[in-house]
Amino acid sequence: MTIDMTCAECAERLPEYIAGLGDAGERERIERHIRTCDRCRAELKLWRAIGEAVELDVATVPPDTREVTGWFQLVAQLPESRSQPSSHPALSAPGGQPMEQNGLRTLELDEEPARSPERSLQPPPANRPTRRWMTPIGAVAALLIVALGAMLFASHASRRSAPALGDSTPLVVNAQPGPPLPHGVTMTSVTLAGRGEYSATYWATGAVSNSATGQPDTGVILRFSNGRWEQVGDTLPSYPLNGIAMVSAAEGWAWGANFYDTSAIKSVILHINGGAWQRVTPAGVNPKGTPQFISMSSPIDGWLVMQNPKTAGGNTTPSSLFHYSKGIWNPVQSPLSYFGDIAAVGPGEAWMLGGDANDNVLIVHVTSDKAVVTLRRPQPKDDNIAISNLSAFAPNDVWATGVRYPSAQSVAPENPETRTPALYHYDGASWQPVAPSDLRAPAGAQQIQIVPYAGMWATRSVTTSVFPGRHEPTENRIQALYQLDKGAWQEVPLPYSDLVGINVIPDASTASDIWAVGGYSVYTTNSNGSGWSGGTYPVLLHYLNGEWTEYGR
Amino acid sequence: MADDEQALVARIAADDQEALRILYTRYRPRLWRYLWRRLDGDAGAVEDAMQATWLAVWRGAPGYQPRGQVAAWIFQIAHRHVAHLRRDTSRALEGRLRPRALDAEDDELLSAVNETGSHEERVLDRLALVEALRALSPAHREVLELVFHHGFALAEVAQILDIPLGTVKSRVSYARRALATALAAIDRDSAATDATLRERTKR
Repeated sequence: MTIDMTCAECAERLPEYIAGLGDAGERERIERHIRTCDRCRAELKLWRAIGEAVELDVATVPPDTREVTGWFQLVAQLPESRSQPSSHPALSAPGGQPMEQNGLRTLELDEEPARSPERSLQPPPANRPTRRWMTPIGAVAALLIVALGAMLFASHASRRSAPALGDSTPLVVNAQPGPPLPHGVTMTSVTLAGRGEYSATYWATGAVSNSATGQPDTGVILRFSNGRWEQVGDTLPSYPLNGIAMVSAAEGWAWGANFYDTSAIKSVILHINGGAWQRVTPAGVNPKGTPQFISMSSPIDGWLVMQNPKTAGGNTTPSSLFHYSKGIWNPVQSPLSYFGDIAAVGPGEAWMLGGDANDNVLIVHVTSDKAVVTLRRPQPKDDNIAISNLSAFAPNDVWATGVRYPSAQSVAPENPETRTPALYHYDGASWQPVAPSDLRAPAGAQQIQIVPYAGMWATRSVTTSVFPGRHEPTENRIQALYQLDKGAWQEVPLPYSDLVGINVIPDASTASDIWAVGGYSVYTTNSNGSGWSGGTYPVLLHYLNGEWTEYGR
Repeated sequence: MADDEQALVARIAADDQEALRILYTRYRPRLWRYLWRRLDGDAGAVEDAMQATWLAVWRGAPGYQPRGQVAAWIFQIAHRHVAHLRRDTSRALEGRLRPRALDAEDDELLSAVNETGSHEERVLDRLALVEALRALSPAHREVLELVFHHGFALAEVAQILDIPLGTVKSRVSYARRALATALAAIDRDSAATDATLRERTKR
């Protein structure tokens, strides 16, 4: 006990302290008291457990799927005198209406929509739950996982040197630099936990380079607090982390793998709770596999994809899917052999994009241990469409987005590649292509992000070779950024001239106050000039009143 | 942020629908969870209460007195609507507002899952605490949710619920006692299980 605060005063303040409330001075007084008082430390532990239980209990509330319809219903009820045209971007989206299919007809996506074959997801019997557990496990409000730069280290020829991040000069054109990252840390992924500006908390994974080898081989977990990134818990030597999925402001999962030593890849999955993390090894995970991503719908429901090692002959093997339920990761069989994206939407429910062993592209809707294939089409050899993202807003409102390349040929230095947006919408019955012109996309737009409430976002970019005269590597630099707001596309200034990707974070953004994860790439040639190394890295960006602020570059 | 939101309310008072949309976007997810819990998952009633809340925000904006957070004002409106609804249909809602109980099957499953290692054990401890939480009265749970999930200070909770601060504190204190007792019981149970296991090992 200290003279600063009595036990009774401290105990009374603990609920607000746990909830993150109170000014810095008061929080410090509480912390000072707790350091010297066993009784209040025990009390703190109790309140922490209660706070966690409240979060877990609230997480059983299913996601709100009526945001958009609710807004229109509300607007219709507002008194006439106050009515104005709605600025909701969904007005511009086709949403289930008949669409022109110009330009994208070649895909013939709707050739097989009626098949919707159902397949059973059959987990091994030993792990299969046979009864409902407690109340139905609902979903926490949709969590956004933006793992834009999953530290994609491309390789060519000899690749031993680390990307020289410290030497790179950010090509800032219109961004105020935020506080620097903790010393020596490079961000590798960014995620958001919670929804709305008050409950939104950003988390990130990072890597620290080994001073002896130069390889970024030490994992770090970061939390965005008071306008800066701070390290959470201890560093994780030998395990660089490259992805994170949070289920609340304090709990989540991070994963990574050491790709540098291909002879002995080491992968890791961490469970984060409060300020600590703990390694978790799900039963059935191939220890030589690497986690591709985790997508959680609530603290007690989510999905893990593990990429398995190649065979001795160098052939790829199917990825493994795991479902998290009742505190256990259970292996499940799925029609997909590889995965591009998973959108976890509710207890046991998710949308999955990927392909099967016969090279068909599949989009699967998984519910209650059943997988309904909503789309299956062959992947032709000369296919030039790459769908990479799924956004599920409602069972009859799911979007798949990606890009369409002008040709299947690789980019040549003399032939900069340009792309067009590839967009598909599922209305509950079938997938239909949506032409960019249906969205009145700006001329030259190459990629479109569907973001309810924060407008649609489009980018114009060009893909070129990074090193003059070489075919590889290439990068897709954004030339212009557009926002659809109040029914019209407006150009937004770019934060950097070397931006290679940008994802607006819907749950944290409104039309006038935008949070986004940007990407920038860093490539260097090796000292002998024969090879190169590099990758794409994320940065948290905030756009307000016409100005960008960057956090983490 | 508080200034920003008070400016938004002022804009709403001046018939600015865009300002309403910004607040709607910002708070609808939290209100959804709050109303879902108060109306025990009746999706239709939740949406009705949601609409009524935002209509009241629109109508009440001209008379808004800037004291405290705008968030607390919006939640206060939502709370009043639920309280009103509850008075109107008290008989119909009473049954549904009762906390759910676990059945024997769930217990069996939980104890089966309990044997699978440290991470799962911790999860189950938390689930047992959740169960104890659900046994609290709706009024006590509401206070805990407003503090821990929605991040309101106790004084704001008093404003939202239209009750004295002392009542909020006594609800917090009662909930703490009930949950501490439940937690102690969980610990006793696991100690007893450990003792039984030790006993078996000896034989």
